[in-house]
This record gives sequence, structure tokens and C-alpha cells, in this order.
Amino acid sequence: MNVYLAVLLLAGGALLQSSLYPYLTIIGVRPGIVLPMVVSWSIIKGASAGVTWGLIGGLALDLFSGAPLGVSALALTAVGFATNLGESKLFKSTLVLPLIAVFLASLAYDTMHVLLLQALGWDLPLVEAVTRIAVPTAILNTIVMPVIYLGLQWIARRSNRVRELELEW
Amino acid sequence: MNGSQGRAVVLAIVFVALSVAGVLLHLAGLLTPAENAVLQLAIPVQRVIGDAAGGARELVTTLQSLGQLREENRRLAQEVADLQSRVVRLQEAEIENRSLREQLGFKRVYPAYDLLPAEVVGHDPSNYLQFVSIDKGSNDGVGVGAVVVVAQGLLGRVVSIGGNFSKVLLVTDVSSSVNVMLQSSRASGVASGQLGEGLTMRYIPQGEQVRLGDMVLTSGLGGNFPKGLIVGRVKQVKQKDIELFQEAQLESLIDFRRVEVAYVIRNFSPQKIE
Repeated sequence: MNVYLAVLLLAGGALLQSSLYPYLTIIGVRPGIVLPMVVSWSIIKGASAGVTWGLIGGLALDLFSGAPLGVSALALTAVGFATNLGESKLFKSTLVLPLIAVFLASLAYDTMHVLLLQALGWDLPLVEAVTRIAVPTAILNTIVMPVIYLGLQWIARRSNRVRELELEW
Repeated sequence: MNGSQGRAVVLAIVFVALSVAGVLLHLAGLLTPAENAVLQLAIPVQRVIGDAAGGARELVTTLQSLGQLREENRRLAQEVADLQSRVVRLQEAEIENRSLREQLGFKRVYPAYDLLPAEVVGHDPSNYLQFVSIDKGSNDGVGVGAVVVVAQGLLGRVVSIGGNFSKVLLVTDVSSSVNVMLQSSRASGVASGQLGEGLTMRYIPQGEQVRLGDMVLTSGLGGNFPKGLIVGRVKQVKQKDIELFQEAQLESLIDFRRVEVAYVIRNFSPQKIE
């Protein structure tokens, strides 16, 4: 996929995530838009594409964040890479496993994010952050994942450069 | 006259006689109970029939005026759309009016401040950080450290700026610390953010009386914030004799998710302590 289109999509996702804050908040937390995009693309296109999307998406999030530039980029790049470690045909051919992938990736991303923020001076309690925020966020991310995954799968098919991915429920 | 003609004549005479008898009995009032009883039974049936007939007539009328109704429906739909857009415009005007009144009210409460209105254009995409972006930056004279307020009190302070935007660290972020005091007792402490939009007032000396509902204001100590801005209200007190200080959970009067317009205090410069 054209890298410019990736930048456009991820910047759009980050912009939505930042602007729709009051409307997306459920049980005190918000689902991510960029993280499910990165996880989806990593599953669809492979680890290299996942890493690239992780970096671009993370930088886009950092631009809208008050945290130093690179915090989200670092965590999302790692997530983009790690998501595809368990790559298999089974992984890509059903929607259930991408849901599991985004749940785990979300927990990993949030944990890394908190640890990085702690290292930068934010006094965040890790256990409380994980139980009160990371877990509900992972659940919300899992809920929004099908829409994002199917949307990106459609784009991937349209771009005609990806392997054929058959989705079976 | 044959046999059948004779029977007809007899029947006619009997019926006429019955009719006459009926008229006479009716006039005499002797038939009224029977008539009432029959009518009583007939009325519901009449109603059903009447309704059905009315419905049928309406259906016919409707079918006849279908074209006219369609036109009227289109006109009404257009009217509804016009009215809706007018309502939206009025609501926006009301919100703007409220915001201007808030600003005016704020200026009355804090007449010394030169306030720059700024629109909140974005929130931090992270669930762990409490920042907002506003649409005023260095081009408008906003600098790092500038204090940002809303009518309900202190929102935060500017931590980074661009030409036409600034990022504001909210008082509820875990990295935010503000020197505060209780309005009633003047006891001092430090208000800092908690995970998930909470606020805690720490370092309240033991022996100071902290009451639920006490207002917490900026103390002005340290020179980062002007004195007297509302930070929150005490909603819970944690006091243990074995600890050096008391602690209080605060609730902010600001709904941080709903803030649309904030005000940068232009004529206050935070002190730089070396």
C-alpha cells in the first residue's frame, strides 16, 4: 500500500481518536482507533507492514498527545511487530483470532505505555492503571476491532497487493 | 277474491293494526322501556358501523386527495427541516450566549485578569494523560506556563505551544501539582491529579479541620498560579493519626469532557524559580 495513504489513514484515525474524546468515553475509558488499525494491518500484511504502521500511527498519536514524541510510536511499533509473531493461516482466516490478538496487543501496548510514562516522570500506579484502564480499554478495542479489521481488509483487497484472505466466521 | 289475496288483505290489516297499536302504545309511553332496551343494545353496533362507515368515507376522501396530501406532506417536511435548522441555530446561539455570559461573569469575579478566549479543539488520545489542545498559541501571545481557566475554576496550564495552538496540562493529570488552600481554614496543601480525572489534596497539616464541601482554591505559593482560583471541593477526607499529613479527595466543578471554550490569563506570568 502507498505509504501516503497509510499516513492519511493513520493520521485520520489519530485525529478522530483525539477529537471524539467526549463521545467515545464509555465506563471511563475510550477505545483506540489507531491501535486496532495497526494490529489489523499487521495481521493482513505481515510484520514489516505492521511495524511501519505502528511507527506512523504512534507518531500521529504522539502529535496530538501531551506526552513526549515517540512514547506511543515506540509502544505501537513493538505491538505492530509482536502481533505478527503468531502469524498463521488460521490466524488470518477467522475473525475470532484477530479479536484475541487486539485484546492482547491492547494490554501489551497499555502496559508499555504506562511503563514509558513512568520512566518519563509520570507518577502512574501500574497495577491500578492496568486494572482500571488497560483491561476495559482492551475490551472496547476488541469490540471496535471487527469494523476496523473488515474495513482495512477491504482496502487491502482493493489495493490488489495482498494475499487473498478469506474470512470465515 | 281468491284465497291468497284474502290472506294478504288479512296480513295488511293485522300489520296496520299493529302499527296503529304501536303508535298508540308509544304515545301512551307504554313502549318506552322496550324501546330503550333495544336502543341500548343497538348503540354499540351503531357505533361500530358508524366508525366503519366514517373510515370508509375517509379512505375514499384520502384516495381522492392523495395527490394533494403528497404535496402537503412535502411542504410540511420542508417546513420541519427549516424549523429544525432554525432550532439548531438558536441552540448554538444559546450556547454562545451562555459562554459569553460565563466570560462576562468570570470577568466580574476576576476583573483583574485579561482573558483570551480559546476553543478546545482536541483531547489527549491516551487514557492515561489529561491534556487538551486549544486554538491559541504564540501568535496570540500565549506562552508556556500560561494559566488557563473556565468559569468554574482552574483548568490547567500551557505546557507547549505552536503558532496557533497550545497544549494544556489539566489539573487532573497525574503529573500536575498545584499549591492550594482550603477556603474556610486557609490550610495549605498540594492538589495533584489522579488516574482517571480525580484530584487529591495532599500535605494538609494534621490538626487542620477539613470539612466535606470545603472549597479548595489556588494559594498562589510558588508563583505558578494566581491566588484564589477554584480548584475543587472536598468530597472525602483521609485522616490517620499516625501520618504526618491529612489527605482529601476533591471533586472538580469542571466537567473536563464538556469544556468547549477556555480562557488564557494573559496578564499573569508564572514565576521562574531557579
